[in-house]
Amino acid sequence: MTDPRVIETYGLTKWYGELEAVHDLSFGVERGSISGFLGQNGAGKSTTIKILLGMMRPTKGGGRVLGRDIVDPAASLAMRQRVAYVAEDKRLYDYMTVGQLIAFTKAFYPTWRSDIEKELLDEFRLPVDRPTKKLSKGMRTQTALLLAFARGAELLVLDEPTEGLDPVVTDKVLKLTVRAAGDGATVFFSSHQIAEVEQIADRVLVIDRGQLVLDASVDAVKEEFRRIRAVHERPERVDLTAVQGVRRVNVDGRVVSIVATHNVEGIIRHLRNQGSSVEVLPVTLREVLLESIGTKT
Amino acid sequence: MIPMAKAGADVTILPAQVGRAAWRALTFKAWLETRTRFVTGLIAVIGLCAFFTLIHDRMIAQWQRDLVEHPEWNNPRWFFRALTDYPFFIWHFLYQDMLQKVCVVFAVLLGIGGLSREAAHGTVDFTLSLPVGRLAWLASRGLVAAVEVVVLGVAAVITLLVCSGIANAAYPPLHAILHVALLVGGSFAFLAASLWISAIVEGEHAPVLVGLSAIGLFYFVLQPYTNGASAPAVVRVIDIARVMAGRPDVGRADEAGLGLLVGLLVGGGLVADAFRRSVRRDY
Repeated sequence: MTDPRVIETYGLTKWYGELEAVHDLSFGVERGSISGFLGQNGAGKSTTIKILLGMMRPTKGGGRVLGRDIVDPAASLAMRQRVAYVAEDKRLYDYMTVGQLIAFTKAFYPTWRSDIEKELLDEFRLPVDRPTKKLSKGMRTQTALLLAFARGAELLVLDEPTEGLDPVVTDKVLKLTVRAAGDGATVFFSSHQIAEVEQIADRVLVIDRGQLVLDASVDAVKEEFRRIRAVHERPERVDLTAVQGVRRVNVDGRVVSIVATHNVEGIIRHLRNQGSSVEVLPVTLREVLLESIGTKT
Repeated sequence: MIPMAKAGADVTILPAQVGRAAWRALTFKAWLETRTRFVTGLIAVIGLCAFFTLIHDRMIAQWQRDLVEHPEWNNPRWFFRALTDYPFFIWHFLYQDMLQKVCVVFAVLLGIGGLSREAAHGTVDFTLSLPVGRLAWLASRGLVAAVEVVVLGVAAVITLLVCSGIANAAYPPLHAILHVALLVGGSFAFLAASLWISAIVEGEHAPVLVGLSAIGLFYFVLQPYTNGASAPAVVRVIDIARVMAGRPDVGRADEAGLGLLVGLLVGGGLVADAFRRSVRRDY
């Protein structure tokens, strides 16, 4: 039977000397989903991805990717035959041409999709005879994406895939990503572009200072998450500690701003009983992200 | 539209299926990485061997004139033998000196590279995302560099024999083959040291600087000491430069065999340690 979870981690922790880059990270990614992995620079996104792909060893905890133990080098090797990865740093071998790089990568994948290779070469207008060191940043990124998509992989791990691309190519890449997921691949991608995540992801994971601070479906964020603004004469007396669904509370003067994940009616009732006037507003993914990582909107 | 992936496809890839094509790709990559250094080394080796074989007659004529015109000059002992003994002339200038140093320098340069250098260059993420074990990366780099060192040796032998023929100097092929074999064997030890330096020293250029500094230290500090009268006999055995030079009349078992064995064992240990470090390291 096929495992419904393509990625699964438990208590993943990584220390770099005195710095804890990833702390007790536990999450799962469902087969066939597109999951956006968000966080600030240095939040631990790339470290997490590198641990998942066997480039780093976790200090504690572990996980499985495509059913293979990420800590076991032999299992990790077998797993990488079924995974395509585009790194945050899209540097490629300077001494190879685009064509040589494609031939080189193809050698490791019996499942290589020459049809996709041709399609993307045309789509991105990549010059096969040009050395990669003479490619623009955008072309390098497109080459890296071609090398990933043509692997015919079950899992695509993309670290900032659209960084450095113009809007037209960004749109193409997002469409390709959605198409890959539609054809059965699972996509796990990190991005700084919240709009991209909102556009294509069906799940969002937010990491802040190495800790997972949000793991929710994008639909749930759109449909269930709400901002509740309550005005109270004595806001310090508003007590929400026992109320379910309260994600974050900010107090600014007489205004108490709450991000609720669920139980909106219950929270409103509670606030009104304490004498507040209440207003309910929709909340965007951007607001949720900024609230999650402790930055005021 | 072409479907991009198969849902839940549990593709089993046998190692044999990936094996041959993957090895070809790995060695091709290693070749592209080292080809400039290799071609430079080839030019240096051929140039050096051709120069000393083709210039031999003129040098000897000049030395003989010097002997007549400057009888007061205090010539070293090797000088008188080199005047009359062509294989000794070649041994003195090439096997124990310049060709040896060129072989060592290029063995070290050909060994520099690998995952640490890729980490400095920013390509290690792409490299390690491929379904290739770290041992295979190191082995392919080492293997290609070793083949390149052997080719440098073969080029030296061919150049020496061809140019000696052009210069009408009788030169026994066995002399060339055995001496160059010693040079190549010793160069393997330096190649191993270079692979080890690449694994422990981070940065794009730092391993090159460390490797070349180590050669300088070896030839300008250690060797003068081991050649001195106060050096114990055991130090002479492990003096790899002395081992690589062999005796001028090479052809019989002597301390060179033992020294070469020690050098290769130490080299094997360094390669094993380089692999251990590469496997454990986070990239």
